[in-house]
Amino acid sequence: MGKNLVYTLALDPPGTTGHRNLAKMLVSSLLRTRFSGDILVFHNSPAPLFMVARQGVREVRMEVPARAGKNGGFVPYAQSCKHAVAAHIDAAAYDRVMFIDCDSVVLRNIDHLLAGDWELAVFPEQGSDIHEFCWGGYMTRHERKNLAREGLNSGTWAVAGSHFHELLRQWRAVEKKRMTRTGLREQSAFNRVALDWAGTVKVWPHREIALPLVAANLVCYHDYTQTAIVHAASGAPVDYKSRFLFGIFAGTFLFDTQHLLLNTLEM
Amino acid sequence: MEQPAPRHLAYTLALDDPPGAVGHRTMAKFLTLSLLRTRFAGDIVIFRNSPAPLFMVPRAGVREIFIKTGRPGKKTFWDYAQAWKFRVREHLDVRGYDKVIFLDADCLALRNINAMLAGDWDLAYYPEPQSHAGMHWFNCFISKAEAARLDCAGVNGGILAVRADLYHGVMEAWERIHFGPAPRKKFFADQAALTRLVIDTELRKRPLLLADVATPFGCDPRPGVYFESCLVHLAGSPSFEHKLRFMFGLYMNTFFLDRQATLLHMLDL
Repeated sequence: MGKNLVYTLALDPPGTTGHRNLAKMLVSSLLRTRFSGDILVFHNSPAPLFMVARQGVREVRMEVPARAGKNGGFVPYAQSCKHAVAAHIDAAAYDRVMFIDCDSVVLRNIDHLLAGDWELAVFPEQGSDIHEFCWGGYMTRHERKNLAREGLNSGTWAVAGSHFHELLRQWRAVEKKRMTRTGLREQSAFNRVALDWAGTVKVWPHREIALPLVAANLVCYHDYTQTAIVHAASGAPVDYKSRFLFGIFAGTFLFDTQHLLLNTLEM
Repeated sequence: MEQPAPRHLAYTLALDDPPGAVGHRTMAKFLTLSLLRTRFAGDIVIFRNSPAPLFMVPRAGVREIFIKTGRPGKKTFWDYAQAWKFRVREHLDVRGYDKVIFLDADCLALRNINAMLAGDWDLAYYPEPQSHAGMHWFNCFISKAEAARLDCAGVNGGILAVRADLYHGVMEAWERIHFGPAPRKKFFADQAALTRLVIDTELRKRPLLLADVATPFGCDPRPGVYFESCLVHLAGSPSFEHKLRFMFGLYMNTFFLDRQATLLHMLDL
């Protein structure tokens, strides 16, 4: 098996660092769970995520145009950068390339998610309906009548390195098209691409990834802390996501039964 | 002349088996620190059965009292420990306080609870949402016939606030019911006794609501809900370590997270 790559994107409006901090938690969690591949972080923070560089982690600083944040457009702009950064990724050097939204933390090793014989791996949101707003912007009339399946989350996916650029090319192409109904453009386009994908598509089981802030299942601490990835997907403010994820990060990686950190901080 | 703000007394139990095990000691430490960090207006008393103090550096307004819990006899330690909620009253001089609140050690204050304790009432209790007093967890002092006609929730035994001048009387009543006759086999007797007490009392009652108390391992698993409450009570966890991990995470994200994520950057430079 060749080497794998995980990449993420952390773009903040000027003067804020919320996504940078989230990305740092994500990268740190990947390292602490012994992810065997490389990690690539795109961010627009003037300072690096890690003052002391980590082995296998590369940070790429991006310039964000000043107009990007105007008229509430920052979030769509940041989402569209998922594929805009493709030019910086040498996908051919990797067996699998995985994208993880920066508002996620990894609780156990994810190497197994990238193993197997497939081209594209996707994660369906439990209990969702692909025709709803978040996923269904590019469904055809025929599909709206006949297709019954869950919507795919575009915040966690993986693709064979040899197909990475093809996936992103198709994604970009769909996103430029007019939607057939109102929807979340970036994620709807991803669902369209996955539906049309000619190669083998692996569906990650629900138990591997939790979306406790949105999905109807795995909302209890006991349930979502059993998964490999907790993704704080939702429209909630970044401060709220940070608080939620920092609690999980601390409970997973800073906790020991002697309460060393607590007793050091609060002697 | 402006009246001084009322002062309250909060107390908890840090009783472990064997004494010195890190479980309840640690939770009591979290709870106490959370009360201090949210500027609780009053004093805090911790009853512990471990000789070592919870705080190497004593905190202002916090008193630790060592009690010898002894052996529980035929009971499990957990059942036995519950009865100390009212038995420790002999150590508490409540004169000069407005309200006295008992909190289980697996509670954490996320916000200041002074407003929760304000008001003209005698007894504040937490009725468990979606529960019924006739359910197994609350009913050992309620006969089947009475349970069938009752229309009230079960009362959680982990949180109780009482007007200070009534405190000793209420605790005596709680103990009397707890050790008194029961129409059913005793089970969760402290909680069931409190349910009985709340049903029967003629004191002025204030039920604590979601804005006051949330139960992340019970009815309120969503962080958007429990982040907004003054207190969380971690009853119902599948394991003790699980509870401690959650409590640690919640403590850290409530009191050690700033917008710059300073602690994260210090730990992961």
